[in-house]
Amino acid sequence: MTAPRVLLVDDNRGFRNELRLLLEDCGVEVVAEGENGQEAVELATRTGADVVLMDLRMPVMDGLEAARALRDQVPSLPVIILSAYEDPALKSEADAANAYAYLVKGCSGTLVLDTIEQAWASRPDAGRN
Amino acid sequence: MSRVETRRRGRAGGPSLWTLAAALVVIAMASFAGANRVGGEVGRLERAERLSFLLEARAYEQAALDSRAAASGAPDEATARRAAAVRRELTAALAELAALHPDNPAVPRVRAAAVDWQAALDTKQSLLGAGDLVAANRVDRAQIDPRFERLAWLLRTSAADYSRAAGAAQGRSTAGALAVVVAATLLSLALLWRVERARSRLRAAEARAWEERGRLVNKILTVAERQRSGMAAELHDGPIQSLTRLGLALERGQLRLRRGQLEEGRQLLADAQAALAAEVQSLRRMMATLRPPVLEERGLVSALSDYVEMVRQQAGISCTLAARLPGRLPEDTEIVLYRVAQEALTNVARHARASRVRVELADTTEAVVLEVHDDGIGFDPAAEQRGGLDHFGLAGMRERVELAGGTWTVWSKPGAGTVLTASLPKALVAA
Repeated sequence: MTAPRVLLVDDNRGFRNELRLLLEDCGVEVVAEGENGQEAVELATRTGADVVLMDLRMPVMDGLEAARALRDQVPSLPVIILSAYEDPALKSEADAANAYAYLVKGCSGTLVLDTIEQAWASRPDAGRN
Repeated sequence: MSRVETRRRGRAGGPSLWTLAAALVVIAMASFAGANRVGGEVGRLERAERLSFLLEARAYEQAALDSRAAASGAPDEATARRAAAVRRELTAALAELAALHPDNPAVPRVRAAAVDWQAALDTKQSLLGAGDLVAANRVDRAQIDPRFERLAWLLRTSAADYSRAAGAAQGRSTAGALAVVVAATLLSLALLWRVERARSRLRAAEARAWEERGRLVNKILTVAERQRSGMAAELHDGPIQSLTRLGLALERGQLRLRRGQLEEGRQLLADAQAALAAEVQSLRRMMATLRPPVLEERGLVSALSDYVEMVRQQAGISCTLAARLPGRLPEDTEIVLYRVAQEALTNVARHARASRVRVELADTTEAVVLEVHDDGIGFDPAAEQRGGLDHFGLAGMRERVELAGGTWTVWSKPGAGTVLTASLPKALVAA
């Protein structure tokens, strides 16, 4: 079984770099990085990522809108929201957009890794990998 | 360009409340005096009428006494006493009548007629006393009777004249009283109208004051809300991202250490430590931005001096401060001017592409004035205003200054730099 291929989307470049380094240290491949929701939608279809790890508040197109677009375009692709806001209303909106999980920034990298693994395993075509 | 205008409301037209009230008092006093005067005149005329009747009655009585004395040959003692008393009463009544209306020509005529008549009576009495009955009868017929008739006629006419004059005076008095009542009523109505207008103006002014207060409260709440949301965004983009990133870096260091990659692990931890120190520094700067301790402790000039130095170091702009203040200003004023300078310098650093910026703080006789000049690319304020844009936080600056009762202006032109002026009147500063 190979490692999950992750699309990482966040408008904060420093945070994105740090997370990518940790994920790669743990054997997760970051196939692409984006700075906003619009890039997330484009890159998800183009790269064939297994999991999308995406921030919520971003310029151009925010994470919720991108999650809704991905739900419509690539329904099998799990989207994990990683937000600075610990807000039940935002979490509900993320649920409504069919997000796989809603993580709050500041959680441990291990939790992020575990969630990515679970999301990857939950894909309908997971067995074929 | 924005200005705070002090509106002075013009006085409403028409007489003032005091004028109307004074007019009412004058009318009341005049009507009182008029009533007294007319009342006195009517009283004198009525008395004169009564005196005329009295004189006529006494004339008749004297004539009767005279006839009785003539019939008996010589008057008895009682008749003579009564005749003398009647004559005194006639004289006294004539004197009183003359005193009541000294200018009335009828009075001398009555008096002359009475004197003539009484002279004829005296003549008759003398003739009777001498026993000359024929001559006495002749005097009676030729002198006494016509003179008595003339006197009686004069007295009746006089009484009727006095009665008419009293009626006319009474009529004038009634008409005058009616006019006074009408005038007083009209003035009272005008007075009431003015009072009601004054009250309605007061109510309108109160309503305007409440409206203005509500508007200011809303403005304050909006500004506070905008500041809170700006602070939230700053926390989101700054410390939360940095600390989250730091947590991930520490986790990566732990991972390396667990894997026995000691050198790499140590390096990651050292980097994290440095990043943590930088973050603490950043938070301190944020705190200072929110409320610089130096502003409270050492005042506006020191706080601006620090800020200008920070801009010089961080933005690489030649930034100078020229401040001439005699001492500390009220706390609220210092905060307003500091915030405006801070916002203006932030704009210069972010947008102006200026190489030099000069901050001036001056204390004039009328106001404390802050000016920020830069030699940057400038912009077109009119276009900003037309487009309803607020790229540079100008509206926030203006609101802040106007809420403090001051005026705020910006001058700028593409390619010619920008001058921003905030002026707080001394009266407000001192308040």
